[in-house]
Amino acid sequence: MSVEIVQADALAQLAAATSEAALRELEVALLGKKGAITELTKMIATAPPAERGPLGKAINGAKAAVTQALEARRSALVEGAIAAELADRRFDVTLPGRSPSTGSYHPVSLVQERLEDIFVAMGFRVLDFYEVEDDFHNFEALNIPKNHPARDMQDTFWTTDGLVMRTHTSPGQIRAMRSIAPPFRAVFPGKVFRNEAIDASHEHTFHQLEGLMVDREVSVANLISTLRIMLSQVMEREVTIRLRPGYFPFVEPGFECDMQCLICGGGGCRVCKHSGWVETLGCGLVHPNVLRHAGLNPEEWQAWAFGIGLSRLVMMRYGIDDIRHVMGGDLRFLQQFV
Amino acid sequence: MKISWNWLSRHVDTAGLDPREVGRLFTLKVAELDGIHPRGHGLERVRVVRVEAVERHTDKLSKVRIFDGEAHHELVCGAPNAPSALGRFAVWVPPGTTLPDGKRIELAVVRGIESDGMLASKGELGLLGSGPAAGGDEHGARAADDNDGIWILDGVSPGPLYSVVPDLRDTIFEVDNKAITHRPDLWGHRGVAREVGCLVRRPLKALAHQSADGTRGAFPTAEGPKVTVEDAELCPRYLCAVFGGVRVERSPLWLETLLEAVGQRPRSNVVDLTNFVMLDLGNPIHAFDAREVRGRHIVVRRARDEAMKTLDGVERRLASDMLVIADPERPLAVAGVMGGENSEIAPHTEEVLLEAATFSADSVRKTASRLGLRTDASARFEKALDPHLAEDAARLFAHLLQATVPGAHAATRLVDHFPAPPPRHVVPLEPAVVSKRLGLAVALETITDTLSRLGCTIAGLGSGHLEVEVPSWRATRDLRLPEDLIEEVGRIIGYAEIPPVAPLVAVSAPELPKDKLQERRVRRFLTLGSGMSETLSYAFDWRPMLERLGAPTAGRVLMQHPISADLDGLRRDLVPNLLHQAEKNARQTDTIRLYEVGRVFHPEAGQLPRQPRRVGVLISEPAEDATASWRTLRGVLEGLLAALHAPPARWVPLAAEDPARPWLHPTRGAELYVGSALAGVASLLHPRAARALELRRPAAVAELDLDVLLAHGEAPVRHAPLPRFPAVPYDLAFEVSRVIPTASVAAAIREGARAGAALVREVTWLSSFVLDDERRSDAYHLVFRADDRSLTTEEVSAHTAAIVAHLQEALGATLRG
Ligand SMILES: [Zn+2]
Repeated sequence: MSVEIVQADALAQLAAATSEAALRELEVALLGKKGAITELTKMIATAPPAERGPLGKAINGAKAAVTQALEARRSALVEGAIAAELADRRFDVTLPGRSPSTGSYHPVSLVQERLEDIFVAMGFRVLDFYEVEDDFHNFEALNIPKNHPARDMQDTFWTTDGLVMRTHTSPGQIRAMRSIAPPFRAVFPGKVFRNEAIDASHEHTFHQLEGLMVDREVSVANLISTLRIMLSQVMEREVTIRLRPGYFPFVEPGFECDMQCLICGGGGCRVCKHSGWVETLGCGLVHPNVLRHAGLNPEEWQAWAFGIGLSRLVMMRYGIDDIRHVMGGDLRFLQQFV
Repeated sequence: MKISWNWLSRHVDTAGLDPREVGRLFTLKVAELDGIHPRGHGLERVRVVRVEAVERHTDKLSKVRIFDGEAHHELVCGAPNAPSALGRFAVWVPPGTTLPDGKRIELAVVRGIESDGMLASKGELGLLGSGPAAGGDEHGARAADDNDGIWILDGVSPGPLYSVVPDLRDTIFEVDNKAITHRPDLWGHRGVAREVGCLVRRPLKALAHQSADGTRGAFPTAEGPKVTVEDAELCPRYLCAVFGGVRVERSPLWLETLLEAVGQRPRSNVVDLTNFVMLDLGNPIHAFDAREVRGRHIVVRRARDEAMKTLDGVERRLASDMLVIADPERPLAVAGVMGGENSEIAPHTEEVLLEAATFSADSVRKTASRLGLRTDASARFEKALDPHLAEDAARLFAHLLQATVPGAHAATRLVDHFPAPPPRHVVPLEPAVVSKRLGLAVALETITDTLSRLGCTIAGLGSGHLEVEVPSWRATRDLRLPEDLIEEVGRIIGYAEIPPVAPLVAVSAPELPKDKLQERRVRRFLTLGSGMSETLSYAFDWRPMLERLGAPTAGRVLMQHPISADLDGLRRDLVPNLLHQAEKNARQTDTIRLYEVGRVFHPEAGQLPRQPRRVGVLISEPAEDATASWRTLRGVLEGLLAALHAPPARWVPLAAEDPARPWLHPTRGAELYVGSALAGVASLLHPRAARALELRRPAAVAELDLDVLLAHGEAPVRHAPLPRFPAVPYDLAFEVSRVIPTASVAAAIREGARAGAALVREVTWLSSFVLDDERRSDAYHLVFRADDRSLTTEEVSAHTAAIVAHLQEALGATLRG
């Protein structure tokens, strides 16, 4: 077969190729190890010596022409394909996404972790204590002896063995002070229990976070400062707080801490019962009797403590109006929090 | 507790004060108010009228003729007590009046009669507020008075309501009772007024019986009742006297108005006065019909094995640690809690024996709670009252009785059994400590001024160490320590004055302990890595779920007084609560992936229960078959262990039913061992449990012990160098018996590589399919690689042949095409 015919045939095939894939096959068929153009070179060996020179030239010429045509055709096809894709107006970006199945965090965990992080950054350690406590840690050591009226303030779950479902996270104060050498700072979150009927704003099981700072000199001013930092951080905005007298037998002086209502800014609304303030936590300087029960000398060591209702905080932060959702396990509720 | 502004005004000058502002100060500096409510406002048009004629019109309706002082009117009244108003006085709302609740009264035609306005009940006038005080009203059960209908008045004349009842307009403070449990002095208007006076710097007025001439509240010298106090510890002070010439009738209007303002229903003059004294001073007192006190002899003693009927009509069994007030023959009252029916003030009572006493707080509290009988009286006594108050209470009663009941008078001396008056109570206070604790510089004068206003007497002013004598009304329990005084100074100055000051502390290493870190990893992996939703559930089991699962209900930590029989004990495992929640969710969705991190509770004799931390996992979702469910669960757990940096677990098939955990499937579940420790269990739901529950999809559950994982898990993460020589992949398929576990095949492959075992870097199960009843086909993907050279095809073939031979020999497995 003559070089010219092979070349003409090759060029015709290239011109007819309509896809990049076809072009790749053609490249092998023409220029590959056993391709038509490559085969031509075998003719050189059998040709008369005088024709070898011109034949070689012709074959190289054909090879160059085919290669050039191939590249030209390839770039035309690529440009055509790109132009076609760019010109396609049928692609629909409004179809919904296809995501890997996503889970959710419990909102109490989210707020609890946030609080833990705030306190860890301030040099507090995070502790965890038991939910079933004994009378000593839950009451006696916290300056709530038997027959103290404060025992009535907390409807207590007693076990048949005379143990207590802890009514607050405060037993941790005793356990922390007994196990850690002062000075130290710690927070301890957890479930607490009150034997009361459930409705939209009452649960027998809810979450608290207790904070404790033990040092040689601590003051109410320190406490106020720390509470303000905590609440501003967790609410992610500057908050205004106020302290007023509050009675907890294990602190003296004891306070209720209110936060200015974030919904109405203090003007009064339904959420704050038109007072402009939302009761947020109880706190105070740790009572000397408690320090003594925890093995510390009140002449030497001082402490402040606070206990904040995590469940309440969660409800405030996410606008949850029914506390029963918190422990209810309804996926329609749980899956709202990631 | 309700506090009336008008009542406060009897004790402190309130002229020019704004009740709302005083209420705000009270909340900020004394105790929380739950609310501040106006009472009796908006009744300017309402008049008191004389009822001149009442004529039955129909069954339920009466035609009433009234006189308003100027003119006569006719109207229709549907109140059942309308007939008893005849000749007396009622309250008339003229047409065109809008009542406080927004109801508008118009001229109307009722059953053919033109009705000119209406006669109103106290409720319609907005005077009953949230209703009578709950619980503690000892006469509640037998109340039957004119107020069950229109308001009927006696001994007045027609005129505008506000002229007839001048103190009707009032402001009511709702004090949060929990905020004053530690303040025995705040359980009456006197004590609240004392605080208000301190806040606004106005002095307390003298008590009503403390006249300059000493004639008020005085007693004659005639011999009084005999009093024997057998247990002075439970009754430190007992006063009593007899009053004669008593006529039991309706109380004067001012008394009814004040009592109603604070939610007390008026009864009769004697009972109303005892209530008034209690609400005024905070010290409950009790009136007996003197004729019923046999031998005029009061015995204060512990109860014997006896019973008595209390004023609420209930027969009560008394225990020997309860204190009773008795005569020589029988108990007359449960001391400090409630009187008895046998000596109750009756319409015909002419002689009254009045008791004013101080009872032991602990004893009253215990008795009231044992009897399930919390009264206004017990609530006050259990706060530890100042014994000096009892005498004021007796004298105030004497004065008021004489002033309001014509002819009534003290007939005997005031007997006073008070063997051991408490000593003065002095608390040392270093002024510098006040500033240090508050974090605010407080001047010495501020400290002494504040404490003096609160009734303290201060000595040692020159020495730098103050000696603060606490007033008797704060000395029983309340103010004991310097810290208590610091609180007094701080709250009266106002905590708003204290500037926030960040604590100055040494920098310390931040610390998130291992258990918290572990829980965070668990949550992160399960939530973000496994698409599961974190839930929380009660520490209590849902007992019906245990019963439906056939799980034991014994062996749990049980509650003495569970919130309900269904929540009677603590969970031993997390799975039952997860199943409970899953079942509820199954009504909405068929894809349920829940997990919970929480404690379970295992009783230990004589100590706290073991309370290990666990993570529970539940997956109930569409799956091709049981194997697919299992593999999903197992995949989650393997990922979880990896996320916790735990070594891979050994999965040991469950061998039998577990009666303690009947939700576990004996042949489709496994225990997980990490190292040598049992770390948890994973299983498909037992078919019996699955049938007992209403889950729409097959469920798989698992529970891991986080404390065990923490102790045995945690392999440190180390970087491994990337391979320098290429890997050679090789796929193999075998026919094996279906009873041989997949794990054994994989193990045999590794073993079979023998000499070249180190070269087999990966053995990956690809798939299995069933060939017939006996045999299945398993496909594996092997990867060979050496660290020091490129492997040749010949080497790999030799190792593969060894593996095939070993599988044949060990498991009877044959290579498939
Ligand atoms: Zn608000």
